[in-house]
Amino acid sequence: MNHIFSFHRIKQLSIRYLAEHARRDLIFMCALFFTFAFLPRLVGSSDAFYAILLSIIVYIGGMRFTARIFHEIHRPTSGMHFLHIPASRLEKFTLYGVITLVCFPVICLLLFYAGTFFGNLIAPLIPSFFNYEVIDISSLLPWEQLGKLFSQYLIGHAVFFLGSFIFKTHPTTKTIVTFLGFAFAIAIIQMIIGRLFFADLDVVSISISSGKLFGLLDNLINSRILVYINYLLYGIVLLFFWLVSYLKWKEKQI
Amino acid sequence: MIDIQNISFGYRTQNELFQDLSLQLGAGHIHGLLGKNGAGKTTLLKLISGALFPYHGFISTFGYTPSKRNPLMLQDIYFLPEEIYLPDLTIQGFVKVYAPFYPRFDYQEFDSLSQEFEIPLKTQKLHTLSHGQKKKIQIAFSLATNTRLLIMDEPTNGLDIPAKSQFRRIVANSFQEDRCVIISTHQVRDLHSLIDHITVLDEHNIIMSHGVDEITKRLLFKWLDVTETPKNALYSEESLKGIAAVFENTQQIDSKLDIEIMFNALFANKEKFKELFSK
Repeated sequence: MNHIFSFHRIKQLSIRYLAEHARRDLIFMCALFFTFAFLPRLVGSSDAFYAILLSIIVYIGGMRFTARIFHEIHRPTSGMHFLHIPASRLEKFTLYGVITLVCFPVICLLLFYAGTFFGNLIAPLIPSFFNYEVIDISSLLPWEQLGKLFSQYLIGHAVFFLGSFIFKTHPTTKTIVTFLGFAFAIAIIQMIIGRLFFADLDVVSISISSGKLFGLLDNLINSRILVYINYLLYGIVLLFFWLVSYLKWKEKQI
Repeated sequence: MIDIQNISFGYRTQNELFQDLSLQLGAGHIHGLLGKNGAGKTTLLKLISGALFPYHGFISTFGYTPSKRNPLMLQDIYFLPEEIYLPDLTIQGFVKVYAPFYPRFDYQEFDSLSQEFEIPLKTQKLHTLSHGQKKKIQIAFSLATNTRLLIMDEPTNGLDIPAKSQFRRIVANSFQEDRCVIISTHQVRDLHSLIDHITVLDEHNIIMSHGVDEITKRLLFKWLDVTETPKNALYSEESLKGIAAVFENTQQIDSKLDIEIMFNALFANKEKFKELFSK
């Protein structure tokens, strides 16, 4: 088992990652801290703005960070260097997966609370610049909203993580374009199927609106089961993206 | 140590670089991998280290399949590429971060090699160094890892003249019997008196893979005066020093191998060499 997964090597890989990216990551964290501390107060926004700001940073920042996490494997020089680091493919994949999936949003969340707390302390000292009202940190992000944010991040992460292996250059843009392309293609296919097999679309929509179709489903399966099916589908989609990502990484040649 | 059996590989499926290539390289030697530009030297090294995968056939690097990139194999291989990559760290930081990946890394050896190569202060950032200095650091680090397999692709490119002789001395001194060093180069003069086994790649295959002793047993290298005629020579070429000639060594006379002349002779007389070395 030692040749597949070793915590000692994971530790070494983490040290390597921190040593090589510490400066860039610290600058990013400082920028984030001050953004959370002062931006909402500067623009004089409501409490809801804090949650929106965090969501934007986690989604956009996280997607970009995830899409670029494996950029070094796409360059011949750094790629050769990275492939030959004595750690297994699973260890490198796991570490970068954890950094992007867990560390990034958790650090954003911690900086969100720390920044807002810092803003509460500093803003009253310079009331001419900032909205100096004390923000109730505990009420900013209810658990339900937080759960929603991270569950959505989970899916976005899986898509962009796969993009980081597929696209050698501009992975963020290319992943977005591909994703939109797929969504567009699926919509077109749905429309064509609708036209071909349900020529009279009005009839179908009327039958749905009259509740006949869902009424039938409700008789067969109750809503609790539908929730579980939803979770199951969610899990399958995530597993699919992670599996394809790992296979792409496994087959990577320089 | 390295066993390559009937491998095929190409960057495009229609245009295979290697077809049915087989090669064995043993420990206790410094192997020179020679070939013309585009012969596939770097590709072969990448296949051995697991950076590329063959279409067919198998490769075994001390019992491991390189394409699986087993960490136990990777910690016993150091690949020094032609185009080196060094992260944005100090020399000290680089050693601190990367040395623990290699269980047999010798810190003292790295220090002494650094001194011998006159590598600048350890606190200096790697990015601020010249190409030659970066290469020296990589060479020192690669030797200090004490891996069983050390692959060097054009290691003397970018080194100044004194550093090239330092390189030869250092590699020869740090060589151990359980180690296999593969050096690929165009600059055969840089490897003069260093390599003890020569493998030549040409047109998708190995056309020669023999020890230096074996080569000098079968070939006689002579310098003749410009007025002399190299009768029965397999190959000869004129230079300012006189005429360099290669003969069949029928009388088992000792001579010093000139890799460059041998290389040119081989490409001028492939069939004759094949016949000579198959005896």
